[in-house]
Amino acid sequence: MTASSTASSVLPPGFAEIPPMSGFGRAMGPWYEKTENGKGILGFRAGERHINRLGIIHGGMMMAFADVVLSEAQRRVTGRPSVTMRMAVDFVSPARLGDWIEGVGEVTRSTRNLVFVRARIWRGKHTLMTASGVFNFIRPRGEDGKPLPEQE
Amino acid sequence: MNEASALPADIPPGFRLIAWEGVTFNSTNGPFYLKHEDGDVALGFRVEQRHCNPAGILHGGMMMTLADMTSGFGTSIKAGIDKFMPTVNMTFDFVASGRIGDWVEGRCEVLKVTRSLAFASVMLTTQAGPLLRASAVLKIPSGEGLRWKRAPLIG
Repeated sequence: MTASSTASSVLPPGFAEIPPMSGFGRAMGPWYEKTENGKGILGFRAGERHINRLGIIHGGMMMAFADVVLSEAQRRVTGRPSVTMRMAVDFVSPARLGDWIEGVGEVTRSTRNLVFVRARIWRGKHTLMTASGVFNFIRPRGEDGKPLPEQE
Repeated sequence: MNEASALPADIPPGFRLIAWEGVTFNSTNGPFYLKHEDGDVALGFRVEQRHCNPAGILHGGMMMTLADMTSGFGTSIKAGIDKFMPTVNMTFDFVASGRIGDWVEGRCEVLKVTRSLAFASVMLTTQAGPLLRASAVLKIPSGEGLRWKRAPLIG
């Protein structure tokens, strides 16, 4: 057991593990979530597999987390599956090995086909990243791979 | 066995393995490959299940990772800046989706280098065409910046 995984045994109150749903999510997880004022706050503990050789959380990891935070915020509001169409991130401050990192998103507008979301990611009192995204709704597919009929 | 034969047969010619040491984000999600010959700089990887989202398509996080690495390596090599340049901002348009088995490669164009910033344009492609368009702003540290060492290349 490494020093970082020892620290990870301390989970902030209210957070529960999200079951890994994909290959990438499993490789980079576990991810955690809690609900506060109806919003889903996501969190993860920065381990060795999230950092670069300078001991800083890799930009790719921060952006992957931002993508998940943004899409979770839209899913909670619309309940519809979507894919990321556009995303922008500002790296405000670096995060390091062992840090507990949280993020929450907010839907700014939802249209027939698109949903606009913005998010903030932080460690304690420090903002690490701000992000915005535009997501495109997708039609859920059945077992035969064909899109299911639209439900109103 | 010589080093070159250690590369998988499906890696396109000219690409060499970036041999990062230890457990990091790159070594966990790699292998990643770098091509640097005749003025062409490109990074690439082969899409596997562990890079995908629940829908079985390449996760946006992996695309953004390769775009981030492409802007870092590309700007460093093309502009001759031998320092670690932290990313300040990135913007992405996801124009297509990638699938398991795809070879994804990224190329970077350096638009402008100032005393403290570099502006780069990045395009990721697969055999099917454009995958992701990105733009990046990198910080050029004053002084030496963070100490770092380039990973060796194999193949």
